[in-house]
Amino acid sequence: MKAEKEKAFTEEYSLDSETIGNIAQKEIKSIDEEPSKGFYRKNKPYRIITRAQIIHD
Amino acid sequence: MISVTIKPFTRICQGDVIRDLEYVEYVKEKEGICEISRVVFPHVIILTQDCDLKHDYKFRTEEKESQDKLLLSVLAAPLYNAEHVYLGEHLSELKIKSQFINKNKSPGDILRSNQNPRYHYLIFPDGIKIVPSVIDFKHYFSINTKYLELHKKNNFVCKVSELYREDISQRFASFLSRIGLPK
Repeated sequence: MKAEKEKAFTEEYSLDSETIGNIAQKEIKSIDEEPSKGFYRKNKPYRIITRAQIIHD
Repeated sequence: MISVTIKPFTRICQGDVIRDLEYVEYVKEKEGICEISRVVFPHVIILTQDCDLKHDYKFRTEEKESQDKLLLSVLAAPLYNAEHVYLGEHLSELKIKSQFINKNKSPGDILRSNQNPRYHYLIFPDGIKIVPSVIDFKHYFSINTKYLELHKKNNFVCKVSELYREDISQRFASFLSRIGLPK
């Protein structure tokens, strides 16, 4: 269900399908994989794109 | 080489060097999904005038009749690893390619002697774990004051001492007020 929503969201945004969405997935994955080795060692700025579902009480 | 102090003040100070600061690029929301894009800068330097920061802190922490001196945000600029800047690769993780600056020829010398108005080259003293770095005045940005104050508590690196801080400030002001004349 979560994956379907993610996919639908990504497809809906024309920008996301080729650029932002893919970059987000790729970069979040990269950071999650090596939080202390990859980006920090390079000492360069990096981007994090976070998506969250808004839940209204 | 510049001189620095490592004793942190509670308030934000001009010349503070702070690590891992997040700059929010955008926030958008569509059909209940919120997307936030942030750029994390390994090191930044605070550029806002120190008297403004001092008054802001005073007006937030003391009883006053008005909030006249409060700041909405603070100006900062990134510090890039000089070796990455020479190669034009300092923003490679953001998919941005910059101009190559030949380290061993005039462009490198001009950068290191702070004759290029856009950049400010810094060598930190021993004991400060920051490699020779370059401030890029073109990449200044603003951060919310309260957020920055909280972030500083655990991410303060050092404060550039007054003489060097004023040099940076003067060069930054000069860069911002430059006039591009037609050729």
